[in-house]
Amino acid sequence: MIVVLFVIAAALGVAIRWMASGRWGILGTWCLNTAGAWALGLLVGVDDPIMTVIGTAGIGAMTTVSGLVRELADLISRSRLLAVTYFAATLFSGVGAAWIGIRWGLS
Amino acid sequence: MTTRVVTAVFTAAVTGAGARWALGVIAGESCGLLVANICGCILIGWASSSRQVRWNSLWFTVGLCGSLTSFAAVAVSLGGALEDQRWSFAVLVALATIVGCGVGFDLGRSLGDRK
Repeated sequence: MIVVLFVIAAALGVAIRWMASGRWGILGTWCLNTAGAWALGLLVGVDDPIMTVIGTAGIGAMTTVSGLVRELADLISRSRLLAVTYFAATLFSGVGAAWIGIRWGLS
Repeated sequence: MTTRVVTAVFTAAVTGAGARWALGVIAGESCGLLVANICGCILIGWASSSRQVRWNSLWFTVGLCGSLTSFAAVAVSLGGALEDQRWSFAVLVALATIVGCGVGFDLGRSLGDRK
């Protein structure tokens, strides 16, 4: 049962990221990475099956580091300032959102 | 968008997320996540190289590499370290992820560009 839920959650996560980054580009990736960090922060301390399905599969597949790095590499070739701004915005908003999520934690 | 493409992306995403979970079990949460993120960046660097255009497809980049890596898990790791005031751990995780992923992407692209 957990395997089935893991598969569904991972498929849902990638579908959301695929649609958001396809429609809104780096803004979509940034929004999902920030929202995902906050949501995963909320789940810290939650029991393992739920964390594995929602956290590791769903939210994990919804957020990405490789996509972020690729977008940064593309941005650097156009504007270093824009790339640095995007990277800093992602890092600070993501860590800040995760910290808020942990504070509000459901556990 | 064909059903075949969607199925390939979903299958690759499940494989990527499963591999990240397995790495976390084998190598420990923080170490496994770091390895998964660096591997994902090497792979997407490879796919981004000019000589490996056939790998630059949705199932590989969005599906496998995207799901193998997780920004949320890194952010929570850093947020948790800040909450617990484990400053050195936070700096170590941030530096290892940023340097490892940046170097990994360049390494992947260099390997992909080799004749």
